[in-house]
Amino acid sequence: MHDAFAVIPVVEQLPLRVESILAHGDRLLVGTDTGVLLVYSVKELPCNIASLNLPTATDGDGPSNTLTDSDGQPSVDTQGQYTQSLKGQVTLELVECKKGFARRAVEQLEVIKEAGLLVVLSDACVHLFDLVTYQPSTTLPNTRGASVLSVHTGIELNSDDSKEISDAMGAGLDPTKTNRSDDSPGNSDLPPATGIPTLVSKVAVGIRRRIVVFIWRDAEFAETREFTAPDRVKSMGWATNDLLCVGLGRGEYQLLKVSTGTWRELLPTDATSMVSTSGASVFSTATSGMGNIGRWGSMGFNMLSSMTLGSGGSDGHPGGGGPGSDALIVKLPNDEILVNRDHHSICLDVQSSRQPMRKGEIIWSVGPQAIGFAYPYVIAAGDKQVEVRSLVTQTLVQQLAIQESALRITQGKLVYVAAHHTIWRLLPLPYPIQVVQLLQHHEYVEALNFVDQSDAILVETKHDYSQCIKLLYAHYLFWTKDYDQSLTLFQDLNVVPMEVLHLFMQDVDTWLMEHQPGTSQSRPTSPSSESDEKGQQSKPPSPSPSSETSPKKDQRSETQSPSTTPPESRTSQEDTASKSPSPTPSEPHLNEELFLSRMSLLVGYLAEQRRLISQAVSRKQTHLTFQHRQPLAPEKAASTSLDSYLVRYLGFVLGDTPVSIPPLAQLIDTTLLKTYLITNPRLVGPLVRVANNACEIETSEKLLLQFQLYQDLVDLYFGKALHRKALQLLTRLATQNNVASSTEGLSLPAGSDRLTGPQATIQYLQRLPFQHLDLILEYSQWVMQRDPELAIEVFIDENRPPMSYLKSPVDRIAQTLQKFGNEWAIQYLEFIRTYVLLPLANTLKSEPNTDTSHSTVDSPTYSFDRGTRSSPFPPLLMFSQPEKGGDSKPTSSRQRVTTMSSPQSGSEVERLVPQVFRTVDHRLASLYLEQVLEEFTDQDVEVRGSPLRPQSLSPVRRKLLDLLRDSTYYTPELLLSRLPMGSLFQERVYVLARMHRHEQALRIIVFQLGDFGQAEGYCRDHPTDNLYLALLKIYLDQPDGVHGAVTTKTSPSEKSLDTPGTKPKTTTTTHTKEETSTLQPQYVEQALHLMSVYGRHMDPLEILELIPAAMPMEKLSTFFEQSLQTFQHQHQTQKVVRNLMVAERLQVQSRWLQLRRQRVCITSDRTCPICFKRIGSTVFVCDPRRQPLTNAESGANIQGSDIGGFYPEMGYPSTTLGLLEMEGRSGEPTVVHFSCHQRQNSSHRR
Amino acid sequence: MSTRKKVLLKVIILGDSGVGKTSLMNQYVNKRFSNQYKATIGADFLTKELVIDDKLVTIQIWDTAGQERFQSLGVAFYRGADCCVLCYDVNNARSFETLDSWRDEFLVQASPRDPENFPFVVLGNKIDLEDSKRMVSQRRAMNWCQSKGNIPYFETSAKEGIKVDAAFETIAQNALKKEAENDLYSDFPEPIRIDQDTTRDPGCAC
Repeated sequence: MHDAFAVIPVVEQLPLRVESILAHGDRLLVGTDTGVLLVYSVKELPCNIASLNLPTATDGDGPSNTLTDSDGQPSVDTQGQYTQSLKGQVTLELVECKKGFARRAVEQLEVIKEAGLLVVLSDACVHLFDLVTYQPSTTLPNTRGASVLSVHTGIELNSDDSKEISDAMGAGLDPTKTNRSDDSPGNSDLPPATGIPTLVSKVAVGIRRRIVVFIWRDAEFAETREFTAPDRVKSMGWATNDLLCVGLGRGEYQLLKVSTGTWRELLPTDATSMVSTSGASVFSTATSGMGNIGRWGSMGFNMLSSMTLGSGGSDGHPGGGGPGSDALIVKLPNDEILVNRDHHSICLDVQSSRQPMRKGEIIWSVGPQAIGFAYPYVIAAGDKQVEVRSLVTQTLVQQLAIQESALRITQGKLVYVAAHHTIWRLLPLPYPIQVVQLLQHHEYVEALNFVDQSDAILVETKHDYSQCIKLLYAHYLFWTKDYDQSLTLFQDLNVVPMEVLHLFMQDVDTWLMEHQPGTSQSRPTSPSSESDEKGQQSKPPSPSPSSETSPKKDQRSETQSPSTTPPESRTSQEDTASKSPSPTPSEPHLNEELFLSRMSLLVGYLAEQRRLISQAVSRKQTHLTFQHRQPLAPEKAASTSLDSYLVRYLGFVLGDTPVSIPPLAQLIDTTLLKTYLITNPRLVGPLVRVANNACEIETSEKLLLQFQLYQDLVDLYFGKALHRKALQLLTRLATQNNVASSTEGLSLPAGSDRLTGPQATIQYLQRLPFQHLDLILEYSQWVMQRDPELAIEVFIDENRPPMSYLKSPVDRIAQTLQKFGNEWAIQYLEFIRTYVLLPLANTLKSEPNTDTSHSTVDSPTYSFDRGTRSSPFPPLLMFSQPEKGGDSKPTSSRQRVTTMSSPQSGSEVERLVPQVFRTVDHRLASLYLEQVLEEFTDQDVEVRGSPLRPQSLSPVRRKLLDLLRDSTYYTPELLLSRLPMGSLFQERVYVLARMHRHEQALRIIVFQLGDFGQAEGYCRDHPTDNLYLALLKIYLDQPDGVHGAVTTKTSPSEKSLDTPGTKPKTTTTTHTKEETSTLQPQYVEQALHLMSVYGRHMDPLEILELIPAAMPMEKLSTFFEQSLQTFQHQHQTQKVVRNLMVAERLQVQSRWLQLRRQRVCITSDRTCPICFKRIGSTVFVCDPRRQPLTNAESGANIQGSDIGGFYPEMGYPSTTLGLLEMEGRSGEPTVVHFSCHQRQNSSHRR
Repeated sequence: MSTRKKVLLKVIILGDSGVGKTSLMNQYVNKRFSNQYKATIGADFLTKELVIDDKLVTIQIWDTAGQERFQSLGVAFYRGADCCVLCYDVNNARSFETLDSWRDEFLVQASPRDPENFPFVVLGNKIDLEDSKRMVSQRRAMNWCQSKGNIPYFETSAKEGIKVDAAFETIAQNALKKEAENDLYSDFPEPIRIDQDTTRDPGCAC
């Protein structure tokens, strides 16, 4: 409820009784019961804000006191002020008093402005008067017995038909018109030239069961139409240009279509019930109704308003409680009408095309005697009060008490209410005042409606006002704990999230403080948190708005009445401060529930904001635009005009504000984290893990620690790359568990076992990329110490892509691991070798051109049995049979491994693989060796001269051997120096082989290992070096070889001294044939075998040199035979080859000659087929690949054919020659310019 | 749960662009497959009725655009989902690696009551392609699913229709389970909002 109108008595204690009133322009016409017409001129001052708000207290208070607000709210005061202050606004001055204006009471007054006519219903006749002079003009014919009339003016399309009629009828009547004052918006100056839109005024007169309609067109009387009503006509009102709504005697409303004369039920279903009680004649002169009711019936006054005609006799209402108002019909804009019965008014849409439609219903608190309409309000006058209701919402807007029962209401903007001897003016309060009142009463919906409907507000400002009011409404909804709607409204308004969050997040920190798991509930709140809470509560709910509005308030209080109620924001704050939702001891449960519902609603809001932000980010926006309160422009704030009153009241305008996204995102996400903590902590995890979360570290850290969500905190750290912090936390969590009482204040919630051990740290380290190697190494230390078997997984995790291993500093990791024990380093290096290097190397081999960006690699499953630690690379074991039922996994279980090789990383892989291989293999070899030597000390020294038996070797030894043999990457020189002298001969062989010191290697094989098969195999394996001769030398020349092998020995065992090869003392560098007698038969055998099998690989002459003199010839026969045969064979073969060569040469020569013989003929008009220019004497080329354009005769006109020309094809391979030959036969070769030829060739090549 | 009311299950398919979300849905509902790629714009849904445990269930499958993450779709879209299907392409390691973030993103947007037990199903699609193109091993995918609370995992081919029906059956079953739990909650009466009536007084006091 608010004050929409101020009621100002304008005429008081009139000696005459008012029968009818009419407001027209600046005139007020009052018809009295004695037929006197009073003419008042109205003076209205423009509304002045200053006068409104600073009312002069000296005003007499008598009459204004008659208007009291019946609801007893503080607004009574203000209303009084408004009324008082507005009292002087309207003054009436009696201009004229026409006595004898009518013979009887003037029952109804209407006006047809265009025609300058005053239509008067008096003495049951309709008379026309001049509007200016008030002189009688004429009496409308055929209207005797008239009881009611209604006037309407509107624009219609002209037609010839009506023209004729008007012509025909023109003579019969004087120009007399009627019109309603407000419905003719200055149409008189309508251009008549067009002729099409015509201003039509219609006067409908109800005479018992007849209705006569008089029509004026463009101020010219046009025609009369007469209709018969189905019942007595009690009231009439024009609904549209063509539709007349008629209230009939038997209590129903019907619509009369004037152009066709058809009738239609207005309210087919319930019309009867609606009008049933209005029994009296429309224009009744019936005597008084009940005393307490207005005495309107007995007076026989007319309804003065242009629209409402009904004046039901009250005799139908013996009860008298409801002053049986009768059929009242009010035209509303947009082809709507309001019909009334008793306390009910129904609003109907009566567009001619459709069935009438109910739009709304108003229930009056008192049965109205008269109804008026002043947009957007419907005003009903009844028993000593005037009631104002909104048309749209039907809510009661204002109730005004008056001393007398009001009986008449004028329509339109100028609303007058008349009782018998008093006339009041209902002065609408300026819209800002009304809106402010509504806001003060928190009637935001009403205020919005009002702003929406008011025609006093410009369309563009309407929107601004609505937005501002909605914002206030949203705040209000929040304070009334309607969080859902409030949030919806905030979101619709697109308000800056900070404002919303500020509102919704209050008490959150307190809550979070109080709800610490573990220590929480029972713990008495510490003084600090208590004071904190207090501070929270006493703080204004929204500093940002209040800080902006507070200066405004000050200004207002300067300019406005001090008694004005404080603005909404303040009142609402004060209101709600007492019932603030912050937890109070009295109703903690309720508050808790409210609080939680608020939070869960907020979650939705925040998630939506998140979405908007990520959307904006993906569009590369840096700012999001929100509505934000902005202070008024100073000139506006200082303005005292009425129009700016509302704005000044609001104290802000909403404007688009760009908000930078990063801080916004941070705010949103941090808040979301908080709300999750309150509503559903299990959602915290997903939030902190989302890649683009912008949670503020410090706050989140504190909260997550407080809530013991350590895992989530670790995830958050990980997402933010704060790995050190995460690892520190994990370490603390894991280690403190041992210390029962933690001094660091980290208490573990139940069920967080997985954080207690090293497992969590290990997992974290596994996720950590190798860029953070320092961290990995640093924090892997304690887990390695604690549980190396688990911790080693950090370094041998198959989930990492192989490429990342490849790029990591393998050496450094291995070195670090070595500190914890060689086995870990070995395990790591073996993993790198098997999982990373070998597959990659295979890929490189199999796909030299890595044209696909992704390649898959088959790698053996790295199945490493920690228990026995054996056979890490089974596929490489050459002389170790897979142990039956052993732990070596079948190599068929292969796994797909992705090599994350991007196109350009192919070369990188190529570069990195050998590099890493070198590191790994060398280190691995050293480590193996170390282990082997460790084992070795316990075992017996190796038996010399016996080949190694793989089965008897220890696994490490086998691995070492495999590595040394197969790998090409270790550094043999370094290893060699570390190999012990008296043992590990096989290893030495491999290393020497790698160093290409084959002779030494062979010597060891022969003398130390005594494995002649291996020696031969060794020669076969190195075919390029042709080692057979060297081996032969060794066999036949052992002393030297043995000497060479043994001299380096530092600790020769006794056994080795006994072996045949070890006679260094006797050997000299210059050996003689005699010495060869010391040859051991087994070596001689081997030598003979070698000579006979591999003889042809050696130079026989050199062999002969080597053969000792003592060698029996028969033993050599096979060798000689073979040698001779080989020689003979070679000789023959070479002969054949030579002759073949000669033949080929001859062939080539003949071809050459043939080609040289070719001639081309260059005539003066021969052109180049490429550029189409003459060849002339330029350098040319014969191109046999080109078909000649013409077949010129060969031999004719041979003319310097070879001048400057040459055959480029001479240097071509023989296929080209063949081609040339063929084409040469078919015709002369094409001749082109040399330059053209070059050009074409180069383009071909391209 | 009983048959007294029709059960409508809302299932949302998420995953990187081009992993075959639309194809999976089309294969399941329409038994059709097209080799042509057409990016989904916004979201689209198809429904299918099936009988689970003698109950007629309408499954409403929401196919989303993988290209813009959560952009055109508001929070309301994700609310009320009964099951979320995470798709990746077994031949595209990246699409597998983003599953984590799809899952988290979904949970943040949908804010389900019980995020740990919200039914997810993971589908590794396009297994019809040749073996050598495969980038994500079954073991790796299974490991991931296990670590996220035993999410059911299926290797499917929308093209060949391999395992699609089985996968969606599981999806429906899991969604149904969740729906049943929700019904338990909804059997409680709505909380009475004392706040609204006491503080809001729109009328006048006269």
